[in-house]
Amino acid sequence: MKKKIIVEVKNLCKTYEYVEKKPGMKYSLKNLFASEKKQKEAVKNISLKIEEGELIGFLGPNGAGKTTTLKMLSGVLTPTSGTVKVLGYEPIKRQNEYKMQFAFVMGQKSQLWWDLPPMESFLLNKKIYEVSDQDFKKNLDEMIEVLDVGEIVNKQVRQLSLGERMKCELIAALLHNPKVLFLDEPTIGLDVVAQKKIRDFIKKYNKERKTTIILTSHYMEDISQLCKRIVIIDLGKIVFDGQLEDLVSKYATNKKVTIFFDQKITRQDAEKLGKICQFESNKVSFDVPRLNVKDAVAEILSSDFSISDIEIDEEDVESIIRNVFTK
Amino acid sequence: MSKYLAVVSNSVKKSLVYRANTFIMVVSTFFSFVVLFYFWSSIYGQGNKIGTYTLAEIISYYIFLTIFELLVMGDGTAWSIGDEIKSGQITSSILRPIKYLEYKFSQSIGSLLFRLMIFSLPIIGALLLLRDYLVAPGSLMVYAFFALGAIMSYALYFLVFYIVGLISFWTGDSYGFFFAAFVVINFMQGGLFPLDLLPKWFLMVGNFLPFKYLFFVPVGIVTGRLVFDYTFVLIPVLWCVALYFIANLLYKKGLKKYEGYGI
Repeated sequence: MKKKIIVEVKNLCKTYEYVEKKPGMKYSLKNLFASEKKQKEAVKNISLKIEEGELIGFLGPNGAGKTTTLKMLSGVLTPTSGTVKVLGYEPIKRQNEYKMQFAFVMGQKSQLWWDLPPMESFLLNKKIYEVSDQDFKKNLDEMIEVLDVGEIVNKQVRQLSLGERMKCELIAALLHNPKVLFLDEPTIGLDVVAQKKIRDFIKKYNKERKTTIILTSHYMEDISQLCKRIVIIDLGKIVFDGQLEDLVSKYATNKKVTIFFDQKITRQDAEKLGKICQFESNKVSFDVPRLNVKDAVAEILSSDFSISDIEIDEEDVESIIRNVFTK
Repeated sequence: MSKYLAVVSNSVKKSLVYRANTFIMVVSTFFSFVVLFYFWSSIYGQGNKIGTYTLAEIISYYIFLTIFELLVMGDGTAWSIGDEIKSGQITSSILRPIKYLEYKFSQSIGSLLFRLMIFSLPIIGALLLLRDYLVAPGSLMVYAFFALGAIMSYALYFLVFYIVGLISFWTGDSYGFFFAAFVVINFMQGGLFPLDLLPKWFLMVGNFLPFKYLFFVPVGIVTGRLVFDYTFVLIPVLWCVALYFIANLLYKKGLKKYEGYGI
């Protein structure tokens, strides 16, 4: 069965105009009279299709164009050129019918009322999105339980911790059961426990409700734990779009061979054995080309050092992606 | 409609959070009325006079000015629009199925209700205390016309500052424009001194502008110096309609330029 296409993006471009100001009072004053306008192409010719129920990760360094793309998908930003269709709507027309069907959670922006408990914001969103009493109660109870926020929904937002607030942001955004969810760095600045809780929640939500979720993050964990398909964006272009496994087989050219020595060895000695990626007196990791692993290990074993153990690992996704960017 | 009522209600609740702040506002308001009274009594007591205004008229004029400042004139909601644009906070309003102008207006109404709640006490107290020194309106109709004038004024104020806030879409910040608008408006509405101290031609020109309907006209009605005229409603209503369209047009244009900073 062919799945419905939810998001269709063709040749999307966005150029920002910005004012350049060199540091210093002199330039600040100069800027008052004549400012130097410059242009930056934040997104260059991006095309992509997303199917119903996908959980897809946008990955890339700061300023790569991930968020800009999300902003165009949600209708915050007007594209410079190209077309965007989400659920059959053109986001930039900002029709209410479209707004009722998506949600956008931003790690760095809040839609909760700062001076009031989150519950008041939930109730407001219930009205804004015209959610029935029944659905509201069902959705809310379920999310409160999964995210474990029963204690805090009646506490002022400004008194919440970042992690607690983020959980409430998610609830506020999901009360109307959106078909598409945009998550912009939902775990930014959170501790490991809170990150995991939010990650698990997103995963479960996507699985149970078949909500199409598009997520940006620069935490590798988020992406590798959650997303099957990842889109790597760098300098406004898509440099990779495919399954996580494909990324590994395509870009992971090396394996990591870790040798545990019986005695301490010097860096100089270790360097003779191969290219070091980590060095700790009696534990050394080498980057070894995938095809050479057997030979390399044989060579190390036949050396004069006495070796207690060997580990061979896939390169971690983070360093694979670093490879992609430095290509 | 019910979504906007919910915004009004949240806005009231939000204002109620900070109790100490509220208490101080109430107390200081009461004193500002008393200070006004002694100030003008002492000026008139030395034989001075402002135009054709009697002491009772001038005290009433400035007491109503304070009341308008507390209740009618900008509560900061419209001012906050500039900040929301600058910080990118407006994004969350753009994304939800809600109209921004109506959303902000509901917030403003919520804040108005809150101020009505807390300021009625010192206002009524001061009016009772000073009742022998104030001009008392002759009939109930005068109160009705005054109320109508105050509502017009409230709507005009909101729209003017809403539009000034939207300027941030183009300039990044609009505090300079707020300040400029405030200086002009305050003078043109009679916020510095009664406008009938100025030459006649000035008032004629002012008839067609929205400013004098913000304060000078409603206070003129309640103090009996102006007789109600249908233009007192017609002109502000026409301005409200015009400003409403301008505001929506600017919002649309502004969003095209908007870049959703900071997210």
